[in-house]
Amino acid sequence: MVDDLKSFRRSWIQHTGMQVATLTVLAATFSVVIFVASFSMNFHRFLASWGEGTQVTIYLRDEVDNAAATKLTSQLEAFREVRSVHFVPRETATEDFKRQMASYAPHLLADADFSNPFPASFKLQLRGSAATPEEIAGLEQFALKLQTLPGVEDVSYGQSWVHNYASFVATLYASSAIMAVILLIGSLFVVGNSIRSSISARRDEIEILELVGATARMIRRPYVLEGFLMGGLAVAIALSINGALHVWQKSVMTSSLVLARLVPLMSFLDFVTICGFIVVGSMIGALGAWLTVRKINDGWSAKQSLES
Amino acid sequence: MISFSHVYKTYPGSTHALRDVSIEIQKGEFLFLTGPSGSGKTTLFRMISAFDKPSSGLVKVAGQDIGLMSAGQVPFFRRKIGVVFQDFRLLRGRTVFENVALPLQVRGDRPTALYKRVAEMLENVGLSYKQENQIEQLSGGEQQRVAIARALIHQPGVLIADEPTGNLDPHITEEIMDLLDRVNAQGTTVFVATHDHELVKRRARRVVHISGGQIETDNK
Repeated sequence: MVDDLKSFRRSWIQHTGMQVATLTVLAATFSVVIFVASFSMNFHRFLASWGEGTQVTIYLRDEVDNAAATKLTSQLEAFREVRSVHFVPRETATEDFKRQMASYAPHLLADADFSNPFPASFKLQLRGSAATPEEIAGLEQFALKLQTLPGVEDVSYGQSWVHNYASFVATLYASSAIMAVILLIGSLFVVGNSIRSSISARRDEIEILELVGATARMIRRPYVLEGFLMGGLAVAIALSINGALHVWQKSVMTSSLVLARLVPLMSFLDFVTICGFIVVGSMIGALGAWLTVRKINDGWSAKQSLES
Repeated sequence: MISFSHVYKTYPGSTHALRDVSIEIQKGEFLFLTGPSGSGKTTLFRMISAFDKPSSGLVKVAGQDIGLMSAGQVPFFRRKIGVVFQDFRLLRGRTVFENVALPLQVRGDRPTALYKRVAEMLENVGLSYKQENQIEQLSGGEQQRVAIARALIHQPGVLIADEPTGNLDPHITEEIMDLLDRVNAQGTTVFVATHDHELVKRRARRVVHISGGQIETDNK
């Protein structure tokens, strides 16, 4: 291991320019991936805050009397998904309608012949949010359950809006994931190319190691370690860049009246995620290096050298 | 120790590097291989050090059939032989000690045993006082002595040397050949390829002459 670390150090000293270029490209790639992850996490928080207190309206059949409504209230309050239940009798709904329409049709308030077209309803305030595809699916399931209750005519939770919202969220997450995967695959090639250059520059060394009986595994190990360290280092740099960017974003948003209320919801990646990124970056570096150096077989470079 | 029996080596494009080569080298023998460029010397050495396999025929070195050797066996086989080249092939940016110790590190020797053995070997080749020097700080003759020390540090049964004195002046050449003589006197089979006919004449050893991929003479 000590020899492998020495080899990494030598590689840096002998090919500083190439190593710096590789590290820069890798750090930039990982920066974008981390930015996407951080943005998605904070965006999810914003959506969750907007989706909090989802309201469901249950319209009752005309034949439901007060006793049945009271019984239904108890049933609804028993659901753990429900935070509060508010019963709106037909008369109240009509009065509310007349009041809202008063400015457009003042005669409605005094119209004694106005027949009541409104059903009685329950307005439910739900616990939790409807920000993720899973939460939205849960809301749909709950609405179907409510539909089966006795006396229920219809259940409304803004289906059309929720479906559009769900497809927007799903598209956003899917495109973020695809982008991250593309960038991570790209980073494999970046590491691979760096290691390929490193192998090319150190062909003599590989050939000598083969001559003295080093196994392919021994020869590959320093390169895989080099990829591992490069990946980890690039992620560390990318995290630092994103951390600084996060602080800057917060300060900009704090000074904006519209965005300031979102600032308390914003946070940088947590410790476990940061560690996860470093591990993933290191593993990608090691994998990229391994995919390149696995082509080194016994006698490979020395044979080429002897032929030249 | 080394045996070639009706060995042919043909490269793509019908290039016949070796044609019906048969040769026996006994344990402890010292042998010169001579021949013009492109005569097949390098191909022969490449087979002895398991960098290539014969197209047909049998090559055995230290009891192992090169043609049947798997890729995984090759590194372990190479630990039984020592190879020296005209251009030394030493690790730049490393010390004399680190270069000589390399085969023992690869073998996984313990540090204490390694230090003792490298110190002895450097004493043998007269380079103890330069063990901390970088390779770049050494003369050609010194570099070749380091290469020989590295080739012998793991006590191989066979030492093959491809033009080991090709880049050295006559005085240093004699020094290196004396060193190879001493190695051979200790029981190691030494097989040297060279263009230097004067050197071959002075040493009065077995000489195999190869030309056009065929053995022309063998003064066994």
